[in-house]
Amino acid sequence: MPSPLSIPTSRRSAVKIRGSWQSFGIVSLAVLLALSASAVTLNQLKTDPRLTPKKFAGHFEEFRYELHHEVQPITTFLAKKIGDCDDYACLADEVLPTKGYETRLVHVRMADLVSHAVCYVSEEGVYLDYNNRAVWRNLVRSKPSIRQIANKVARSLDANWTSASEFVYSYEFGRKLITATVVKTAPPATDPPPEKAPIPVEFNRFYVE
Amino acid sequence: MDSTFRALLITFAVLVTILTAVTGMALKSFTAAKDSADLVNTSHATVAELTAVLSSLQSAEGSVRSYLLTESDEDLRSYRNAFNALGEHLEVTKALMAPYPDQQAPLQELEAMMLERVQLARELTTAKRQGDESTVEQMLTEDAQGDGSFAIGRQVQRLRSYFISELSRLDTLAFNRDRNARRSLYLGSSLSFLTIMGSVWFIRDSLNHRRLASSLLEESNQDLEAQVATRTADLDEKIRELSTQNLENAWRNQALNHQLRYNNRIIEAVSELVLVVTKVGNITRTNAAVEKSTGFENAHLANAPLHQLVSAPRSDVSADRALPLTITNALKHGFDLLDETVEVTTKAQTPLVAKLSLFPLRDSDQVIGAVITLRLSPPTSSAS
Repeated sequence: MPSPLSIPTSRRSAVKIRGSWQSFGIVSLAVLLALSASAVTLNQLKTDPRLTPKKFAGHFEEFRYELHHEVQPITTFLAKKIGDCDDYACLADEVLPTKGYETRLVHVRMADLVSHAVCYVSEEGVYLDYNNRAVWRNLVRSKPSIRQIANKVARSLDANWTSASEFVYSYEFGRKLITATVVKTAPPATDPPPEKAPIPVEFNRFYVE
Repeated sequence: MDSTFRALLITFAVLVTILTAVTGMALKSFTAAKDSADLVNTSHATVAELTAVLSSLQSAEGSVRSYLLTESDEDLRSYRNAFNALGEHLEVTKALMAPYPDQQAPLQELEAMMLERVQLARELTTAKRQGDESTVEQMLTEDAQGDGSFAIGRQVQRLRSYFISELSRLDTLAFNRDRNARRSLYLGSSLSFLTIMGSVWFIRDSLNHRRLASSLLEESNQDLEAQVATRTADLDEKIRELSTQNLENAWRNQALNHQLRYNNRIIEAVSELVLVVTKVGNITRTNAAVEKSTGFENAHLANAPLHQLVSAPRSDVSADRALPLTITNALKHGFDLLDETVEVTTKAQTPLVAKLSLFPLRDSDQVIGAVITLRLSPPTSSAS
């Protein structure tokens, strides 16, 4: 006679199966947590065949903000999960072109002398903004001209802008180079065309070996 | 068009015009203020960028000198970053100053001086890397004796002064624009207020007139209603009087008819022959005794001359000629005849002797006819 506390044979297998599913679930959750806790790497980003601007932005939801005067090395930024708009925009400009996107870095200077950098993706008509990394709409739709991007960025910061520059950044040389600048008070007719600005010929005028 | 409505329409049109003008001016002022604020921001940014240019240069040159002493990577990275920042700030400064053509020459001069400093840094670092310390020392000595850094400082200061004065100019411009906008708003508000007050006064006056006219009309209506009531009462009274009068007349006519009928009865009952003749002596009416005594019907005698029925007695020849004249005169002059002996013709051709009396009938003193009575004489004794 079976003990009142014992489990019937038919139910034992069910408990075993349920137990194994529970174990699998716990392990899977732990793996997921471990994966989510671990920082994404540049290699992972570059080798992801389905990386889109939105997916790229999704990797930075947990990143914290900390202002640096210079752009951090990519590995530092990704490992520490701490950075600012320059780090985020320059990284996007480094990664997304490998997926076939044309990117443009735009630096918007506000009236209170604070500046903000974003990475515009021409194909999608959107820009990536570090301030929007943790929101559902992490991409901001904008028209391609520097003036229109600056207007939108300034509005998102409840600020007035004075000038905005398109620039390129080289991680190798740690150099930022302005390729086009728009001043708000200048007539819009004098603005550069709404496309990726070419690198100026004399880009090394202020470079000292 | 009603004057009050016209006044309201004019007031509305004036208010709309004033408000449109004030709104237009306010919008223009807001736009100008925004543009002015943008220009102020640009000027501040230019001053800040010029300051950053100078500080970047100083930072870069300091780092170069540190590198010359230490040759450390930290100093190398530091001066590279500083020169990079210098180039960035200078590019932004050039863009910010582009709308100022009179400042382009000093700016280009500044850029040239900057490039000289960059070139000097390049030469110093190159000489240092080549281990040519004497050249480094010589270049630094010459630079210390020169005016390069100070000249850049002065140039930057000159440009900053220009933009600070530009800020002052913009501030004055903004102040004047703000004052003018405020005056326009006050003027527009005052005009609107005055227009509304004028309109209210006019409407109030018009309403008073209307109220007065309405009260007069009401009084007039009351008078009219009173008059109508009086007239109606009078008419009612007259109608009552007329009704009474009609009733009395009806009664009077009825009494007269009765009287006439009685009179006719009396006349019909009289045994004497009674005839009514016209002024010319034609018979118009007779009583029953005439038909009874003569045998002639009344219809036969109607309009017949009197002499067909009445004639002088045959026995009296003189009377045969005189009687008609006597009757004619009596009718003409209106005097009575009494008991004239006559002979009355009968249907049976048996004359009757009678006494004729004639009484003229008058209407306003004019003889219009006469009533003739014939009293038959009793039969003579010879007959018996």
